[in-house]
Amino acid sequence: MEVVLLAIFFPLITSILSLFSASEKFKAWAVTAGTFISALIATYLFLNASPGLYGWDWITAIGARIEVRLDNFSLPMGMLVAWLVAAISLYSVKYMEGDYRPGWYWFFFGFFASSMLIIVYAENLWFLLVGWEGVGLASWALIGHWYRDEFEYWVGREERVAGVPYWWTPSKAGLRAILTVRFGDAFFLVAIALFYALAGTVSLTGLKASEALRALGVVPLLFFALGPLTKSAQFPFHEWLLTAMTGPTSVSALIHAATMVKAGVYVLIVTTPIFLLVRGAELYFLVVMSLGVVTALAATLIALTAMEFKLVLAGSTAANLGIIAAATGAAGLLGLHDEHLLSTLLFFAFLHIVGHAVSKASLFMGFGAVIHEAGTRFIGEVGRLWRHMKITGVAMALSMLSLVGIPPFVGYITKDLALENVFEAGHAYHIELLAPVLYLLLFITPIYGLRLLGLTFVHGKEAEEVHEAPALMWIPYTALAIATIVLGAYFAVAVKFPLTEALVSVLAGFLTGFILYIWLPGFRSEVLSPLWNFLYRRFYLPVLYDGVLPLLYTGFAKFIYVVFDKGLFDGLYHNVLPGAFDALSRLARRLITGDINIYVLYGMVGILITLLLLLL
Amino acid sequence: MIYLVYLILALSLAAPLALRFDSRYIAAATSLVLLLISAAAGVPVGVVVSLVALALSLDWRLGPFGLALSFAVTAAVTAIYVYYKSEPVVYGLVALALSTAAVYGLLAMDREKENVEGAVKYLLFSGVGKVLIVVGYVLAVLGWHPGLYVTVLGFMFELGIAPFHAWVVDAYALGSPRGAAALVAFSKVTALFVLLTIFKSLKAPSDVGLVALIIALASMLVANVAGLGAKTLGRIMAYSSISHMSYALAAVSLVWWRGVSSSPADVFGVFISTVDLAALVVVLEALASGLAKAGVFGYMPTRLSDLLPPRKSVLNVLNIFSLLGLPPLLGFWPKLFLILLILAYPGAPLAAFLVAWIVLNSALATPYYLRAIRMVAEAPGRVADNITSSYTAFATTIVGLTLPFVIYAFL
Repeated sequence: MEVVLLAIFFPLITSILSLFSASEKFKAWAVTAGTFISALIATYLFLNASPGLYGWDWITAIGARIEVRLDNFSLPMGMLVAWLVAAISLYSVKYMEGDYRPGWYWFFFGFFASSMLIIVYAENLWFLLVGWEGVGLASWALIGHWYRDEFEYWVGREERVAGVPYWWTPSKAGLRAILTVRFGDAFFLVAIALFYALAGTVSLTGLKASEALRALGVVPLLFFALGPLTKSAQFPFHEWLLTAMTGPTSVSALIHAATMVKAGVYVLIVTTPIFLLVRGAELYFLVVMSLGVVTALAATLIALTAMEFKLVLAGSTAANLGIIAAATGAAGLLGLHDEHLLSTLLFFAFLHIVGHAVSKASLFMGFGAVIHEAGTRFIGEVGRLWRHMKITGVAMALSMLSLVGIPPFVGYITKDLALENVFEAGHAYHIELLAPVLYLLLFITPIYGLRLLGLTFVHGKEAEEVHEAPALMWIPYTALAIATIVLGAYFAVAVKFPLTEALVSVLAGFLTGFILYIWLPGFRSEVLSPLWNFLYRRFYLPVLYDGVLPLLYTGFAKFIYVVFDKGLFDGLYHNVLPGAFDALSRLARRLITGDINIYVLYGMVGILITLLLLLL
Repeated sequence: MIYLVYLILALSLAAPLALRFDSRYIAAATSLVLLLISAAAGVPVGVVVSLVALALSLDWRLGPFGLALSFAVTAAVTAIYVYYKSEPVVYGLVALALSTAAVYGLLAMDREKENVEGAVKYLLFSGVGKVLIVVGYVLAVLGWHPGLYVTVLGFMFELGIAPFHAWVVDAYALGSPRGAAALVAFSKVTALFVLLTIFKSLKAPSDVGLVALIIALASMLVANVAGLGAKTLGRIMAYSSISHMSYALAAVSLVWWRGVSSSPADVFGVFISTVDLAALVVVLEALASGLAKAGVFGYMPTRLSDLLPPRKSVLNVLNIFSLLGLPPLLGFWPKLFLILLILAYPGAPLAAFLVAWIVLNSALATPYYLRAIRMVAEAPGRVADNITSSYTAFATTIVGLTLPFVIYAFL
């Protein structure tokens, strides 16, 4: 089964190869070829590989093994990731043509893909950590790809709120991303070390069988969860994902559909059976589910009011990640009562990764084409694109309907199945507030989808000189848009076609959105204006993250500098100690007067001292 | 031994020749003869020391003082020979006397007022030291218990251990640089080897060892603290010399105080008795200090050393690093072996204190050695490395690099 290593590392190998050529074309096609080969191998594995563990020793002292796990989660997830990466890579060939930094882009693209595939297949948590850190690094590199920070790549306009800049350049966004995920990673690493210290193993299978792990308690679990929660942008760590839109759109597609954020929820899913056994796991699952629901609602509201194409999509990603996390937490909660249900419930959560990924990759690539062709990233600055970009318009409509959960698209099926977990858990644990919140969520979701479609393709200021995207760009996202129907039909047959009361909320939302943004556009309300502002400013959380926290941190750093660095250490090492030694040195050197009589006196004193010492 | 006596006689007879022409040729010839004698006798330390004199005589016009250089190196090789070949101590004492007169001449050779002042101070205090060494030794041999105390006191004068150290600073700073090179490379080496000969032949009372140890520890601190503010190359080297001599005395006095340890020290897997290890510390300290400082003084084209060097030297950077104790240069090993010697004795708190003291003193010395490096490396003139600085830098590096293998192979 060494072939799995080829699936994992082929993109990385080709990205390293790409460094050896100055040709932009070579780099692009080499990495794209690598991603397609990886995807083909992942498909082969999906179709032929027998489930099991395969691995080799790495650092035995800490139980690190290069070990892969082929099972019901890793095989489809690996195939999904590999094919999405390949599609996005193909799209990037045209999208990134003429870019000023192709070497950087293509190297980190392959690096990103391989890192994600490590996470997908890893059985050993140390090996998983390699991929985990890899996606963190690559995301920083690619979000900040356009390091010259030109206006057209920003998120936000040049305006301040409470003195805090409300715009984010690529460099700043890259830093925001890596700082947030590194915060979670620190706890994640501590938790893994604790697992090893207690259980003597960090392989997923080993941990599941470990009796010692039961006594671990809930705190290490929450530490562990901080890694996935920050990575998958759960509230209140969702801000980095929104500003990550400064990267090339292909990178946004990569981060949102296939890698990085999906890594977080995927790890939550595959570790749930392990944590089920730990004392206090109920609190852990409850926290995960609650955060998921809060994230879903908050991010949906952000998507509803965002004024940039990619920001709407980013908000919707956070919302769907929230749904997946909530479904995972709910599966855990329900699994505590009936362990036999667990794998099915987790599979429902997992399915939404697939459903969301297909729609989201298509949407990002499609709206990337819109931005590329229209030359603006703001909603309202260009409209009626249906007349100029028919293929893109159809593809975006299909993908959006899937994303917002309209039947019979795949998004409807997977989202409904995932939310069934949450409804069920709310019912089982008597959380009365949960159902209304979920209905509200389902109601708002189609509105932001139709708002984006309506203001971009149907209404608004008609653009001139806008053309359909090149075939190399529209083929990948149109194919994925078609896949939303095909997969929807497949899941309806192979898994289940859910028909629940939630559909009423979705359809009500769809109707409202249709009226407000397609049929009778132009609705304005002065009453709702403060609320709109509050949501548009993203709950003013950037004031906290970019204003208050840096201020506190800078203040703390200054305090450390003044008190410890400058005061204590500099003072001690550069002033007090040198001063004391200088004084002593001067004293010792003052003994050397040059007067031989004094020297004789020293000699006599010396003799007396030695005699005294001898007598003592 | 008889060849060395013949050589001294021959040099005495050659004295009139020294007044007729530059007697550095006599010094060069003497060095070669000593080199051959040392090699034939199997005394490599003698070979190393002889080559210092050869380098100095090739580098500098010495006038009549070449003869003084010849006597100085002959005295040093004689003391080395006496120690290694277990000859009577009296030969060592003669060598001490011989070296004093020779080095006095060399310190005063440039005839500046300061040179004479430095030389006289050396003569006086070294003379007092030698008298005390001889008197104390005779009394000790005759069975008078405190005799060895007087001898140790004499060595404190001779080696310039604080508080008997004031003359060292003036002799190094004010004497002729060639004289200072001879003082450190021959006079101090002679004294240290005579100390070793007495160390091996007489068992000192432990209280004398303790007093000597306390003085040595205090002395290294005084030297290193005073060195921190020293402003000229000569003064830095003087404080460095006091410090190195203190390390050497500390090794010997530790063994006198605590006796021979029942558990030998483990050096690179070779077990060495504490007596032999202390002797090794002294030999290496003598060579490290002697070679490096001879290199530094031997390149100074000035009449005294109480100033900043007017020309650059690259190779002396290595010599000063050796004095600093940077591994694997020669100066590193005696410090390490001194620590291993301390650890060979039981009593963890005392060992911890002594090791910490040694290490802290070494660390304390770092700033003034770095200042000395800047002085030689950033001097305004062109690079003025010569045979002496080249040879000494080469020797400190090669001996330092090969020492572990030598110990492993031959001990």
